[in-house]
This record gives sequence, C-alpha cells and structure tokens, in this order.
Amino acid sequence: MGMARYRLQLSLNNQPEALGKLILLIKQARLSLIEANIKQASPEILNAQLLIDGREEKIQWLLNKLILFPYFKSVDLMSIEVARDVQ
Amino acid sequence: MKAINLMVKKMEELGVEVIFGIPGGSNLPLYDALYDSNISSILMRHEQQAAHAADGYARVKKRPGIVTATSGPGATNLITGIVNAAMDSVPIVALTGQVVRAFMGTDAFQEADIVGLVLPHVKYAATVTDSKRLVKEFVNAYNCAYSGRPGPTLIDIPRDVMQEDIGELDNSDAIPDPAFLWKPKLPIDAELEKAASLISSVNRVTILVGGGVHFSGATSEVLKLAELINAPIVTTLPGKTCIPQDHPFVLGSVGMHGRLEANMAIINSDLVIAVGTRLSDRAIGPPADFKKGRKIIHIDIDASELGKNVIPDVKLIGDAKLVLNNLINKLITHGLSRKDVEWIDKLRDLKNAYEEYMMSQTDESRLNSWKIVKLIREEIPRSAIVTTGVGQHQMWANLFFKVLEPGTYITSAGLGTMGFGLPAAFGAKVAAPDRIVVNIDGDGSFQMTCQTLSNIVEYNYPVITVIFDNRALGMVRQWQDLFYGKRFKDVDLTETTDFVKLAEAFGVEGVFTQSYDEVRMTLRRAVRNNDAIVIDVPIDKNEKVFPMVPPGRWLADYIAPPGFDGHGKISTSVITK
Ligand SMILES: Cc1ncc(C[n+]2csc(CCOP(=O)(O)OP(=O)(O)O)c2C)c(N)n1
Repeated sequence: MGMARYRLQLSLNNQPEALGKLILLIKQARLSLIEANIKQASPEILNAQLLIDGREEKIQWLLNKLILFPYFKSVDLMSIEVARDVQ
Repeated sequence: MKAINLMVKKMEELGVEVIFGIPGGSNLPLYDALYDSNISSILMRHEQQAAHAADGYARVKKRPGIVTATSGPGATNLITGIVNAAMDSVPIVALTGQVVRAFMGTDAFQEADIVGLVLPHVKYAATVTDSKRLVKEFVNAYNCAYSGRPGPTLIDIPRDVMQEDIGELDNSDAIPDPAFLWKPKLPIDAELEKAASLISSVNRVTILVGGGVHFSGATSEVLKLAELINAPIVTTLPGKTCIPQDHPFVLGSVGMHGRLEANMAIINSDLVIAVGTRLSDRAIGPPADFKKGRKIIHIDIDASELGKNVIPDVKLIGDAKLVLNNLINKLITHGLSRKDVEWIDKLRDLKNAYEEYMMSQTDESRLNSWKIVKLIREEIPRSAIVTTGVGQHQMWANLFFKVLEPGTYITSAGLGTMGFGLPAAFGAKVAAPDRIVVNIDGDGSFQMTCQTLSNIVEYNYPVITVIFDNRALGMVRQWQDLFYGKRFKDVDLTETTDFVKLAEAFGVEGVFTQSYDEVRMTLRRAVRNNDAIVIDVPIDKNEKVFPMVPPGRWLADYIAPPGFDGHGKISTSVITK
C-alpha cells in the first residue's frame, strides 16, 4: 500500500487531553503532520482540519482508533491525494 | 456535600467493593470520604502493586478494579500497572490526587502531570478542574474502562476540587455521557457470508484465541465453532485463560515459547480464525510469514486491530461472543461439512510425544521446572486461580500448566512486567476469597513486589507463592546463553537472600523444598488449610525453556528441547501439506 496525503476533519472535546491524544495517535501511527487548523466550534468543542502524509493502512488505523476514544466526536476522511513529493 | 463524598456515594451505587491504594496529601479527602463508606480500602505497600492488585481483581470479577494514589510520586508509581492493564486490555480506574488548582503548573511540591504521562496508554484520562463535574467524570471513566475493548482510565483530582461543597447528587450524573458508553458494532452480514464460504473452501482451519474471548465470555462459542468444523484451538498468552485445556481440540499456546503442536497447528493451517487477539509478534512471529500460504479471518471488537499487524482476508468487527454466534448460525445454514479430524489426532500425538519426553527426563540432582508446574496443577482444585511473574517460570507455566476452567490464569502478557504475579494474585484472592490462588513466580520477579506479602497477612487473603528459585534472571540469562555467546552479565542473583526468612519477616510461612514430594506435600497442606505460604523451589540456573522460536523468526524455526526429535516427528506425522 502506498503513501498518500490525507485531509481529515475532526470534531473533538475542547480539552488539552483530547489534543494531546490526537498528536500521540498520529505519532503512534508514524504519520507526518503537514498542516493543522484548529478552531473552537463552541466552548466545549474544537474543529480540526489536518493534512497528513502516510501509508494508507496507517491512516485507516488512525481513523478506526480515534473513534474509540471519548475525546473525539467525529472523524471524517475528506480527501486523498497521492502526491509525488510525499516521502 | 463535598464533591468527593458524592463521588464515593456514586462508587457505592455502582457496586464498587474495594479500592487498592496508598494515601498522601493530595488524595486524603478521598480517604476521608472512604472512612464513612462501605467500600473497603486496602493499604498496599507500593502503588505499582496497588495497580496490579486492581488488575488481578478486575480479571477475576470482569469489572473495573479501582486504584488510588496521591499526586507526584504516588501517581508516577502507578504507571507500570496502568500500562500493563492497557497492554492486556484490563479495565482499571485510577484515581489520583493532584495539587490544588492554584498551584497547578507551578512545579509545586509533589506535582506531576500524571494525565500527560499516561495519556498514550489509557482509554481516557482527565484532570477534573470543575468540582461539579467530578461525579460525572468518575461515572464516565468507570463505564469507559469496561465498555467495548476494556482498558485503563484515570481521573486526576486536585485536592481542593475534592473538598468543594457542591450540594446534592444530580440525577443526570448517574448516566455516562454517550461517548463513554461505547457500543460494539454488529458484524456485517456480507462479511459473515464471506467468512462462512472461506471456511467451507479450505481443509485445515485453526482457531487462534486471544484475551478478548475472556471479557466477552465467548468460551462456549469458541468450543462450539471448533466442534462444528473440527478445528484445533490454540491460544495466545492472554488467550490461555479462556479455554479449558482438557477439551480434546485444545492444543495450548502459540508463539515464541508456544507448544510445538500449537505452533504446528498454525504452520499447517489453510485458514486461521483469530478471535480477540492483536496478533502480536510474540504470538505469530513475522506477520509476512504468518500471512504466507494461509487465509485469515480476524474477529475483534476494536476495528483498529484489523489490519494493524496482519491484513486479514475477512474482517469481522464486533464482540467475540456475538460474532461467533452469528458465524456459527451462518455455517449451519450453509450446511457445512466437517473437516478431517485426523489432523488434530496427529497434532495430539506430537503433544503427547513432547510431554512424555519432558517427563521422562530424570536427573536426581535437580528439580525440573516443568515437573513442578505439572505437580502444581495436580495439587490444586480445578477452580484455583494461577498468576505468574515474568521469565522462564512464566513460560514453563505457559507450556505445562493446564487451564481447566475459564478465567483461572492471569499473566502479564503484553508488557511482560516482572513483579506482576504476587500483587495480581492478591487482587485475585480479594475478588475470589473462596478460591485457592497460586502465584508461580521467579526469584527475580518476586523480589520486585514481595512486600505484598504484608497485605496477604494483614487482610487475611492467603495466597500461595511458589518461587522457581534459580538465583538468576533466568530468561535474560537464557538469551545471553543462546544469542550472546554465553557472555553472562548482570543476570546472576546473590545466593545469600533467604526467601524463607524473607517470608517469615512478613509473617508468612516460608518453606525451602528439596524434592518433588516435599513440594507436593507442602502445597497439599497449604491448599487444604487455605494457608498463605512461600514455597522456595531450587532450580538449576542453566535450565533453558524449549521449544523456543528465536526473536524475529517464523514459528517453524523453533529450537526443540535438546534430544527431542521434534522435527522428525513433525515432518513425518504432521506436515502433509
Ligand atoms: C520490570 C521488568 N524489568 C526487566 C525485565 C526483563 N526481564 C524479562 S525476564 C527477566 C528475568 C526474570 O527473572 P525471574 O523472575 O527470576 O524469572 P526466571 O526467568 O528466572 O524464571 C528480566 C529481567 C522485565 N520483563 N520486567
């Protein structure tokens, strides 16, 4: 399975633990974070858009894993692009 | 009412019976609330031991074990126990005291960011800064620990949050937030169809059982499936507890120190049905080899496990019991023909040959670990619970201890935590005081957590410990022997430590044994009287555990016990593929 660039849309608790867990899971999956856009949707909820490079099976793992933790409300894979410059 | 008193009241309502821990400045309000509660508290001697005790308790009760520690060093001492619980998917809830809110973030006395420290390894951890949220956070963490795939959670509570008056319990606090009540997915019918057709299309199917079967309570479904299709059952290390080994289809554990016949059942299979296992390297060897030449159906409640280590041909997401029931129904409607049972007979021949060979080894000058393990099985009731430390003795127990009733074997599998055995045994005894609990330990492992002996006496939860005393960190010594040219470095333990005196210092009887008969009679007496005892059994430090698959190698590359012509037997009687 090849490398690709993924855009994820997440809704998560506005808690440092939630952000911490997100980064730790990206680390565990050995994915690289290219861009992160995080905004408060309400005092309790953050919306995050992430651009991530990595292997498809690892992204799949991340998507499946994130939803198991109560910190995360929703996770959607928005787009995939197989970029030539993705290492 | 103070927030912490309301939380303790809620714990009582949820049926919490016991909490393992150690008090300190930051969790004192919790202890003060426990003073007036019917929840018993057990004062451990080290927080790591408290976490392992909660772990042992949880595995027996199949409900969360609760542990508490103060801020700073108390909390950091919990970490090994928390990670151990995560690796073996055991529900424990840790309640840590934290410095008061005004001091948080100032490197205050005994301040440690315990949430940050455990975050990679827990299902949920949070610091509660709003006292009105405390009860709800506990209810959430409690539910989260056991719903879906079980695991540890942690609630970190600043002392002043515990002490704030918040009025009365709000009814809405009783119900966990929906995100914490994780409902497993239902298996997809098309995938079940695919699985059933795959099973129908192959000759040799092996069922590989992991620890997920324990918390799911899916033992009878596994047996039913095996009987329906004539499939041998093998287990991972955590899966060993799930399956009674006196069933004729059960062949024992696979992996680095797995039984030859169990590994052969994988090697010679056309299809493996893996249930509730993460297919770790210790169990299956390199994933590419595991995948080569066979199909895989993977059943797990945690979708992220499917494809993480091995990409399966069929993914069945859901609770093991439910998925297996659905699969069995599907196979029955398919009108499935049974597989050839001769294969299992051949694997059983190999099993008998290995056992006969090992039991025929006679050397009057020393006691053999495998014979001691067999003797323990003979002397304790079917329902007795066995725990282990980590090392060679653990692997001998894995090879020779036969689980007869589900849920009676507790070991630190994923993390391999030396020192797990005794506190886990204590926690198991607290959960099941009417059952015999035996800790099979190594002298190295035992010395890491032996203070739990004082709890055994103080709270009168008698546990039997059998120390496989080789005066060495035996397993590491074995690796230095086999893979580092016998350059033994820091693996021999002093001859002067006296385990009999050590046990007696804690108020537990200690017995040094020199013959199988002595071990047998001492054990028999302790079982009969339900006594706490430490039985010190001398073992030769040069004894090595075989079979062994060298690290990173495929299961077929095993090293057989010296002198056992496993390969000849296997190639003539088993491998016919
Ligand atoms: C806490 C911890 N430290 C180190 C290790 C590495 N280790 C694995 S087995 C082992 C030796 C265990 O010795 P002992 O408990 O005496 O058991 P034996 O192998 O001799 O049966 C060691 C040091 C470990 N698993 N856990």
